[in-house]
This record gives sequence, structure tokens and C-alpha cells, in this order.
Amino acid sequence: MPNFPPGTPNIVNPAVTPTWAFTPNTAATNTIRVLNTGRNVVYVGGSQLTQNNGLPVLPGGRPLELTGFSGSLYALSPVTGLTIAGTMSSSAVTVGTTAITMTATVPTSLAAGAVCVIGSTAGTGWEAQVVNSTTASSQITFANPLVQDHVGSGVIYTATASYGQVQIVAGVL
Amino acid sequence: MAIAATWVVAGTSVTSSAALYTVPSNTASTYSYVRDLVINNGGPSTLFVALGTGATAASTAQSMQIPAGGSLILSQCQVPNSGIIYGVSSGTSATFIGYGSNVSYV
Repeated sequence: MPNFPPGTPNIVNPAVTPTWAFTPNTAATNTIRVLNTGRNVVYVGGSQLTQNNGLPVLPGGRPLELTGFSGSLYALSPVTGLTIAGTMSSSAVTVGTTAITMTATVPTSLAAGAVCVIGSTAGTGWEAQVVNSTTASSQITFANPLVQDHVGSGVIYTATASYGQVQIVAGVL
Repeated sequence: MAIAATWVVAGTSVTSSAALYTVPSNTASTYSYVRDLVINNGGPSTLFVALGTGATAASTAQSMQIPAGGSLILSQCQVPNSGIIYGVSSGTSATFIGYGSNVSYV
């Protein structure tokens, strides 16, 4: 991960999973501004953020400002159009897991490259993922590790990514 | 840094995730909250805050990091009505919430 000197902007089009956005230069205390330059909301936060717990940066709004920032900032784009595609097996999965098994054959709508949501949206424990591959034995492998724990028998949805864009600019106070 | 805002002390030691502040409700749409908000960490530990529409807790892995002495400034409609700000830190921290109709800092 590169870090940028003061004043160097970084423009990010985040995926639906946590996407590294910015790490300020650690040589000085930084002030950073996060401006949404796209058409959709972008969520920012830590390395395991989701659309549920991320801080929304709205399109057309004022930039979000952080003074004294020293960590790494991650961003992700929202998802829309959720449609139930199936159910997970009764086995719970934990953070870092890269594959889950469904109770039935993986539907064609969850082919490699498809955006999906793991966990019921009735609660707050869901997250978006991208399918990397599937098997005939009902297993889905994701392009990135899960960032939340999920109870067994959870719902899996197909979804559509609504990609956003943010510009991050760092300065020094 | 000088901020023209009304300040409240929202939490002094949140080693477990806790609600720090609830944004006043507004009868308009979700993001029409008209006041600006500043969340300042008086330290000495790093504070992690969550303010998502679905956030129910803050965590060190998911939430926005505010180092000791740092601030998160949300201006012009970035704060949802009735939104709850959650916070957690690894040790003692002092959280100050500042709000006003037009927060500016120098």
C-alpha cells in the first residue's frame, strides 16, 4: 500500500467489498478530506466495514473531514436490487472464511463474478461479496474473505453493485 | 483547531461498544439533518466510531478510527436524523461531540 504526501489526491472507485482507499503519510499528523465525486453513496471505515456499519459519504455533499488521522481508510460501494437466491447450510461461518455451502445447487445467477449478499437483511449482520467460483457440490467461493460472522441457514441474495467514487485528499495541520 | 460549536462530553471510557450520542430527530427526510457534527477524541486511546444507517455497535476492525487528539467532522447533511453514534476504544478515551448549524474549523 502506498502512502501519499500531503496534497496528493487519491481517487477510488471502491468495490462492494472493503477496498483500501488511503493511508496517510505517517511522518506527520494528517488532515484528510473524503469527497464523493460519484453518483452513489460510498461507505468508509475500517478494513472490515460493510454497507451496514460504514460511514456514508453522500454524493453532492460536503467532504467528510478527519483531523489527526493516522490509520488506513477503506471504502466500499452500495448494492441494490436484492433477490433471494438460496439458503446457506446449517453450518455457521466466521470472519476470514472464503467459501460457503448452500442447501441446494448454486443457481446460475450466482455464477463467477456475480455480486451477492450473505445474511438476512432483516438484521444488520449482512455483507456483500463477489462470487469467485462455484462447484457442483453447492459450494460458493468468494473473491475476498468474509468480514463478518454469519449464523447457519442464512439467506443469500443476488444483488447489483452501485459503484461510487470518492476522492481522498490529505494535508497537514 | 478552533471549532465554533456547542460541545457535549459524550463518553469518557468506552472499552466496550456503547452509544455515545443520538442525533436529534427531524421530520424531514433521512439525511436532512441541518446541523454539522464534530466528534473529537480527547485521548489518550484511539477511538473507533460508527454512524451507519445500520450500525448497532462500533468495532476496531469496522469503524472509523479517530486517534487521540483527532476529530471527525461531518458537515451539511452527512448525519442521519436520530442516528446513534457508537464508540469503542482500547483504553481510556474522552469523546467530545460538537454540533452547530454551521461548524467551521481553522
